[in-house]
Amino acid sequence: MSTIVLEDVCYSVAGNAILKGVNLEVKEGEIVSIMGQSGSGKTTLLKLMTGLRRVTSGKIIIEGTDISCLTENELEKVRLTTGLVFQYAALLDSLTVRDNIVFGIVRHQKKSSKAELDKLVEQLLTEVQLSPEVASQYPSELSGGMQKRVGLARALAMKPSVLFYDEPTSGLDPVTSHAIDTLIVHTRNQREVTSVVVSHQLSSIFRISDRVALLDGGVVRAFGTSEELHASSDPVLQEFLQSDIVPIAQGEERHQNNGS
Amino acid sequence: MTDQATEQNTGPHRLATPKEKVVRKSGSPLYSAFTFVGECCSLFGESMVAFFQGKVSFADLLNQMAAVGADSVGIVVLISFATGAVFSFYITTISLVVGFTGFVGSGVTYAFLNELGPVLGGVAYASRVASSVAAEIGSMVVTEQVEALRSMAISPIRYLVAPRVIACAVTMPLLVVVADFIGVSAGYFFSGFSGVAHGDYINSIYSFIKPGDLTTGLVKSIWFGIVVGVVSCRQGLKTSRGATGVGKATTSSVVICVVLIFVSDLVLTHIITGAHTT
Repeated sequence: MSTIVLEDVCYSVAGNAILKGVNLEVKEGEIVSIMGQSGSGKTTLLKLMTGLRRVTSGKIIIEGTDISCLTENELEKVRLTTGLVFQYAALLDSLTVRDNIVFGIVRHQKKSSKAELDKLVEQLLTEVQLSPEVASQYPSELSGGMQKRVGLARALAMKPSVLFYDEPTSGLDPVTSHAIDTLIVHTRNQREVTSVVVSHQLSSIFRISDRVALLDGGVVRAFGTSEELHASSDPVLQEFLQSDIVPIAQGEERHQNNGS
Repeated sequence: MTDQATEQNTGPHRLATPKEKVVRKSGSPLYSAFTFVGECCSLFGESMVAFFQGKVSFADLLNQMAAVGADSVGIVVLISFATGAVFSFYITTISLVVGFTGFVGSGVTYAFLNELGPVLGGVAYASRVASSVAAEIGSMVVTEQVEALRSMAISPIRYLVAPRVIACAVTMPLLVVVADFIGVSAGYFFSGFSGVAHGDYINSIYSFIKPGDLTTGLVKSIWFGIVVGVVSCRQGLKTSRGATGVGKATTSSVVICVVLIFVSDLVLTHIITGAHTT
């Protein structure tokens, strides 16, 4: 069964078409990554899937509900079942880590006691491999990697069935990137959440994803497993995949050869 | 394409085309003004609906009342005291020339209750509260914190806008009462230094000032509070383009609030005094 279905999703800003008919299906419990060049509309697509932006045309169906025609109040019900981990964490900087993590719960389930919330925070911080001691710290006191983990803990606190990750490993060192990748897979395995990851870091993408989509020119140019994509003869896809491993000098030479 | 259409159309309908172009050009600021008013009305309406539906957290409201109200007392006291002192000095000077000091207390009090208290309080409030609210919300917008709220199914209207608008509408009249008291007190002391008997000052107030004068100022102050709250939230939520955008939102928020306070004061004064005189 597909948890997320995108049908001919188009999105334009001031007459400038960014997405020109995106079609995609994400199955339940699957990790699907969306890759593409900077400015290809990956983050825009993610924000459309979470209802933070509205499609120009097309349908976005999340767990059977077409969110493209919902009002903001109706969207809130859908958002209770989804979580979004932002590229720069987007933690509320006036609140401590603890208050950030329980923020959604306190707002939506007011009956939770302080002791229950403290226990939950400790459990979630442990799950994202952070010391419970950071609970009393403010976001500005944390490193980028720690902030992203807190962002994930905040999303997990709402017990979502679908998680969206926006560039979860961008700007992080390889060791921390690997730890975040492990965390994404671990979260899926432990909580059986459907995950959509937007990234352009190929090493991360192929480490965690069940299937990968290449967004190019406003459409999904290729979609499949790692093996299927690597076996594809699509020149744009192959150029994108090769760009991560071809040294600069050799790449330039190849480009020149292609041009001549 | 447009040129061809203009050349080919000589009928009455097409004569309007250049006019339409003029209207379109001059209509751009008009369109922006209508959009601004519409968005402000929408924010206010949604805030009120959220409040009366009980969806605004009491804790958020108290926090905002402390932030926008209690923290503004100092600046309001300072401005009111200075203005009261200077204003009473001028009135006392005239009264001594005329040889009748019996209107100094009523003059200072009447001016403060009706005009100086709410307007000066409003301007002080705008400079402090509108800037901080616009900067805070603007920073939250550019760092995706507002989108993070929405992604957690938390309405920015309920969490950010409504508590601030209501806090402004509630605390502004309280600050104006403080401003009135400080301004009139400053007048009492400084007119005394210039030779007006304290008894005359007090008697003058009792003789000429009516409770309606206080009501006039309070009605204005509630409106000014709403203006500051709604405009600063609107400017903050409209922030874009990073730190520069936050700076622009902050500046525009204060400027718009101050202009709206003076313009709406003119309108409100006519409405209220018209109602009193009829």
